[in-house]
Amino acid sequence: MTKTTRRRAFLRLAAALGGAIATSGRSVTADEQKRPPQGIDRGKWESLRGIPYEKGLFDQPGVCRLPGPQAKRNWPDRNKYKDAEQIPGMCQLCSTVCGIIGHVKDGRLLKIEGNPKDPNSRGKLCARGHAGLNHLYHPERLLYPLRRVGQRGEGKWKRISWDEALTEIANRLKAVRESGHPEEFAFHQGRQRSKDAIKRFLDAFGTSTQLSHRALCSGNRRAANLTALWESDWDLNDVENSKYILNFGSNAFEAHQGHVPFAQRIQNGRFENGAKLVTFDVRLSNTAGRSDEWFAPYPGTDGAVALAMGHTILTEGLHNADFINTWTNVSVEELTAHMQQYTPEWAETVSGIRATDIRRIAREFAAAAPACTTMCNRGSSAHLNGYYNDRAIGLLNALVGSVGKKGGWCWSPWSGVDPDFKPPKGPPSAKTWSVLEDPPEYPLANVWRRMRVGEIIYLYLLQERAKLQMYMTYNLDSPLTWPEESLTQQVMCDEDKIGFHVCINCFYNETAHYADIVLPWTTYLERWDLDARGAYNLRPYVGIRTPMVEPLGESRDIRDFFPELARRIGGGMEKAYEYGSTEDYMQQWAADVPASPETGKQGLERLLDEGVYENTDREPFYEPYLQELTADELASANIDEKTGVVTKDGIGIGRKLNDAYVRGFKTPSRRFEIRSLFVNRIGQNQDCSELIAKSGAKASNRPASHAGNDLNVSELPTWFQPEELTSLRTDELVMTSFKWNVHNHGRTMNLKWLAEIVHSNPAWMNPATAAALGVKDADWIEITSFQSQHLVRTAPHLKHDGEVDADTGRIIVSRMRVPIVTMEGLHPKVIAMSNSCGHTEYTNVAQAKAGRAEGAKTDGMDINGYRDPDWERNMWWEDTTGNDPQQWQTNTGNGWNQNRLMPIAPDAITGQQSFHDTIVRIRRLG
Amino acid sequence: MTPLYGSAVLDNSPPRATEELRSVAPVFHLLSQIWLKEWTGDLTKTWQNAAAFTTELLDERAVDMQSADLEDLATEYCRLFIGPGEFLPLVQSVWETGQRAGASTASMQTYLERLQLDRPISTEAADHLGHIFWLFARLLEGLPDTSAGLPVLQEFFDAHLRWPAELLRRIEAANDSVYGQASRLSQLLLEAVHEHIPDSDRGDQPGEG
Repeated sequence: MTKTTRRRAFLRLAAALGGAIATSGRSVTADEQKRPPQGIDRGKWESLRGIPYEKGLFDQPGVCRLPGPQAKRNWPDRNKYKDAEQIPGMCQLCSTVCGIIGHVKDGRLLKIEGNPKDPNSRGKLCARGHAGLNHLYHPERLLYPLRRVGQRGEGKWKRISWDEALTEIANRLKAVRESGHPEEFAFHQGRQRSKDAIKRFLDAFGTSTQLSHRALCSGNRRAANLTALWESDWDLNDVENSKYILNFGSNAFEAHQGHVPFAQRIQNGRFENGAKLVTFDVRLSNTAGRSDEWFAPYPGTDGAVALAMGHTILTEGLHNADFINTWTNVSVEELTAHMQQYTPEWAETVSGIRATDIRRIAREFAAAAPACTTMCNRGSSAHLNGYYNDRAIGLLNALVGSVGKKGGWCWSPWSGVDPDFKPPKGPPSAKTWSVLEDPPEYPLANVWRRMRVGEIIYLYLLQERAKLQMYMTYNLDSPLTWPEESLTQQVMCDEDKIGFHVCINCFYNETAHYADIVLPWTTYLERWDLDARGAYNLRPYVGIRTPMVEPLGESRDIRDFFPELARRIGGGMEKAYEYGSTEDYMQQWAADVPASPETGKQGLERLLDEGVYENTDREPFYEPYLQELTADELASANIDEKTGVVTKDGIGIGRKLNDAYVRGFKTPSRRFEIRSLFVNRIGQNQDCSELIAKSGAKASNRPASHAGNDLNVSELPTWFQPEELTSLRTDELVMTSFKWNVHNHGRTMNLKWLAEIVHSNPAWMNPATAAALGVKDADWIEITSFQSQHLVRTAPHLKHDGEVDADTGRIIVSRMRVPIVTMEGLHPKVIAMSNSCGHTEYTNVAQAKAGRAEGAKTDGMDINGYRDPDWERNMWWEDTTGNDPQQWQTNTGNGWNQNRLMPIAPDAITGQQSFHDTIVRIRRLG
Repeated sequence: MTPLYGSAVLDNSPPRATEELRSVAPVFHLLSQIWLKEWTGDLTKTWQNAAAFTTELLDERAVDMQSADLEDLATEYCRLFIGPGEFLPLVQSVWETGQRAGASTASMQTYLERLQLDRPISTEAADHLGHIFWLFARLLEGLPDTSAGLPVLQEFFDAHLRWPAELLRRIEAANDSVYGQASRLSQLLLEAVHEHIPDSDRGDQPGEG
């Protein structure tokens, strides 16, 4: 067809379409019906002359131009941030919630920086935080509600309206409510910072089945802290003022819940206060590598090392007898006798750390007291003996009397937003029970805090110990971040086990893949929250998350659509949402934020201006046990002459100290509880009401549903080693996992700035181990993982079928083929793989698919117009070999989901997933 | 029908190019509706009425939409343009910068503000291909009967209609049914319009074919 005939054909087509096309073919929206007729007159036409668009160089608003061949000519743009509005907010690309400032111009976010007014993060922001721009403006963001049209898990969808989505969800939730089993509606959250909004909705609905990932994260550390303190599950080590920091398995410089606030204080402690940092970790993490000394103990032996240090401190008289006798509930003599068995020589046999080093470090630690502290995290916690590891580590602080001291091992009772500010009152707490939320086998999972045992959820559904009519997931990627990926996928696909699945997320991830309806969630840069983290200043604060820009597409936050959903469900639920708009709600929550002396702004207005508020008149939470009780508190109080415990109306409020009455610790003994009667009794389902009352802390007995699930939990710190870890075959190693400093577990590999830095995760292996196995760098191995033999013996309720290994009779969890890199910085009996990698959904960036342009030619169109230098041309790490070991190039591809190898392995006491105890067999490929 | 332009006094002897450009506005409207949201029953009627002319242009039989299942079409629209997976976002800034809400979005917003027009679907990006076609149709309809209008069209074409080649090619490759044909039709239409619009880089004059 010639150009002329084509033009004529178009004219005929246009004539055939006629005038009707302008209004036919598309429904006129209600908005459009209200508008006056719109036309283009001469005046408007003239206004169009000279609109200054030139691809990518439009001067308003500036787009975040990325360094690259197309951008260099205009970079840096010194006027880019001129006149930009600075809007405070709080990051949510990891759990640390650092204060941020968004630079916004003409409705577009140009840049994210740290908020210097944030008392916790002090204006620092990590790479993840800066990559928030990738998150917000990602080309593959979920922007519309989707409804599944194929089989669940098939990946076929259609767009639906919010009205359709909410109608269907409301009808289904209403049916659950009317079925008499409200607990069969489970809300399963990943990282969430809208606790109040979620609780309001679930309480209004009437279900307690709120599931979380805490057991996959920090259950043991929290339980160990609660055992000693009761009032806090989170130690806030005062490292900035410390002289000696003894780190067991925490990678605070890269990950950790306190990451940026904590890491900078550690460095300040080291370089401004002369502190020494000593790290015990099976892997030379960035934290270990930047320590003064690094030791690589055998996996799971942190507690043994700590007990041996305790032994040294006691036997060499380095302990603080006054603190032990006054402020703990054991005497020096009792403790010395108990610790007698844990000699450094014994610890050397199990950990591989030389007894001389254990003694030396113990002496150094004690010499620095009271300005010394331990710190720990998943490295010591995520083990089958993790609860005991963390109790043993915490004990060291009590022995040297650094508990609550400046520069010592501190905590605070405030874990979130300053309690002086309270959100509008919500409905009464729901009181239902589900084995998914409160499994009876784990005595400390829920008695102080609702930590739950997340990793058993899908297994219990598989075992038909529970079923769900409605499953609502929120910012969760369980197929990627949970153990036993295939089991998770199997259950999520099964409509008999999960009747209906609504997924709320910013991106289509591995969880959304198994949903029935997917709801597009706003990013943390487009929605409201009041938020705060454990405050390293040891006094609470409050920060704000506010919409910096309008939400993209049809994305909405739960604060926006939960009220609408509640109204549709009805039955009284709507009464929980009579506070007005979300902004009204925030106004009420922040109402008591006092006026700024500088600006006079108060309440929400002040938070919107400054981003955070910290009451600096409040004293840091040092030595809270010394706070004297007031006359009011002592009025009509009772004093137990034998124990010195002060109670009021049966509730403990303090203790007698010489001639004074002080707050003490918030435990039944009002002392730091090295010996815990409670954990032993609660483990055996005994009534602990009296102990709970004496503590005055929030705790509960185990419910009747736990009867018969007794466990002997040691009153005193102790340690054991699962037998399978003592009998490795020559081709077996212990697998450990880790996070990178540019990623969180499952939500950042879609961000190209971060994915370019880290996108793959070959297995780390010690060179000596590699040599023994006959492999070298970039060789491929097959890793086979097994169910824990320890749990097969001690936890039969976890039993589930799998392929039986012909050699050993063990049940195989999974096999995986990966390349290796050799690293001196790894224990020879350990193989390490990072998590975060191996996405099968979650955008093309996360899957390292470049999607190259092929040079389409259309007259008048410019192929160079398609230019995404970072996403396309610079995605140099795409692997097109399909993981072919013969052709694979190092540092390419999107890695492997390491959690696929992990068995479901809860610590018997708290239920924390033992991520670091997996025995794997290594076989060389090729 | 909504009036397309107001009381401007038009040249009584419009250049042929202007006349032709104005005449093809309904085709841009049709394609705008195809790209902007899922297929509808009304769109089927329009498509069927124009089938003979579409067949002529494409040199292949226009897909018969008479018995097409709207549910299937919605699923296909989602697969192609909304995701998840290997979808093709119909948004200019994504194809130019790899990000949403880029410079092209701002540029389209500026056009809309100056023309005091509200885009048909407020939750869709201003630089969605459907919105770009819709606005271009509006501009064509309002094109003055003097050559003064062409520079404005040229600027708009340069800014918002030179980018979709790769997108349209991929749509054509990904769908051998109505969306593939709509993609081909879009490419042909843009080529035809380009003949009348000077290329600013080369200083071309409107062609006569």
